[in-house]
Amino acid sequence: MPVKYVHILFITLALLLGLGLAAWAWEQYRESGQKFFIIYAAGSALSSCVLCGYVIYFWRRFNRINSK
Amino acid sequence: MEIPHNTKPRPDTGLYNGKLGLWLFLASEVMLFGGLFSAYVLLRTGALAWPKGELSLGLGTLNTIILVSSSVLVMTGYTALKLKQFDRFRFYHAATILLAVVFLGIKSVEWVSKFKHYEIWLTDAGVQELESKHTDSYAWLKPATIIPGKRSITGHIEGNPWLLSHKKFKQAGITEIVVHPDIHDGESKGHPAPLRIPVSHIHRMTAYVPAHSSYFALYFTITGLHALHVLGGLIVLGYLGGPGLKMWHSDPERFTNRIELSVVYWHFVDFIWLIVFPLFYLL
Repeated sequence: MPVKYVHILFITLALLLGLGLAAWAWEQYRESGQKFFIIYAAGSALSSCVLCGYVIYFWRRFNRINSK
Repeated sequence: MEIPHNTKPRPDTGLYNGKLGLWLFLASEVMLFGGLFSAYVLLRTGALAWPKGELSLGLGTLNTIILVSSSVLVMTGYTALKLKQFDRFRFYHAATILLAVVFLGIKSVEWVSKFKHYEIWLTDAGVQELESKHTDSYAWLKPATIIPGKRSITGHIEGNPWLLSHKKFKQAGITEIVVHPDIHDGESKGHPAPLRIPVSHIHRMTAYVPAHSSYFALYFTITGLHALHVLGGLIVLGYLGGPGLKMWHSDPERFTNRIELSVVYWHFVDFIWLIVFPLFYLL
């Protein structure tokens, strides 16, 4: 498997973990009411969005490198 | 004698030697970690009680961010190398090494904190005495979980000693210990007063080490093995960023292949962490 796909697969898994963490933290907030979990959920969701943007950026950049 | 297929792919496999070797190695690693994760599932489903919230979520999250960032950096270094931007490659490679060191540093801090954190299971007489002396005992006296019928206290022992057990007290002739208990009741605030506990009231005492429970046995085995893999990756990355760097000038294609292999290995190590983190820190 080319290293490009290994990287994209890994970042996609990290992205999914981020979404899972956001859902988990939201559930914890609903159960305990601690504000810390809202911040944790927001941070996890935000980092997932960043990773999503990065995957798109990386895909385009690596295709450009390969075409050179 | 020159070894063939160091850089060019073999016609039968379509891979150069190093890549074939690495993927075979990773296949064996998948079996190793797969066996341990299977052990986790079996021990957890068979356990009477499973500890929760014993690890620092903040440190675990920080380590996850560090490893994901290191994967991005190691890949950015590789793409810089493909574009023949050697100085940029060196910068990103050094940054990856730095993050790996920070990861191991945080992991060791976590481990050491567990060696100084204790759970003390009390005899029935010990529980009765504590309940009669302290009206706030509901906040720190845990219900029976790991040892059926035995209630316990978790916390730090005065002086923060490492790796003590109730057997060592008897050998040293100690008759009483002072414990700073953790609060388990979610509604209580502040720090409870230190407790004086006679050694005769202790049924069992252990630090948060593999002997504590199946949870910590698995935690130390899996995170320890993972940390060894990080250390192994650190040594390889250190070699490629140090003494191995001169190959770039003599055989750049082969050097780029070596970096590619280190990138794949590093992603594998980080992938394992993406499984370890939720298993021990969240679920």
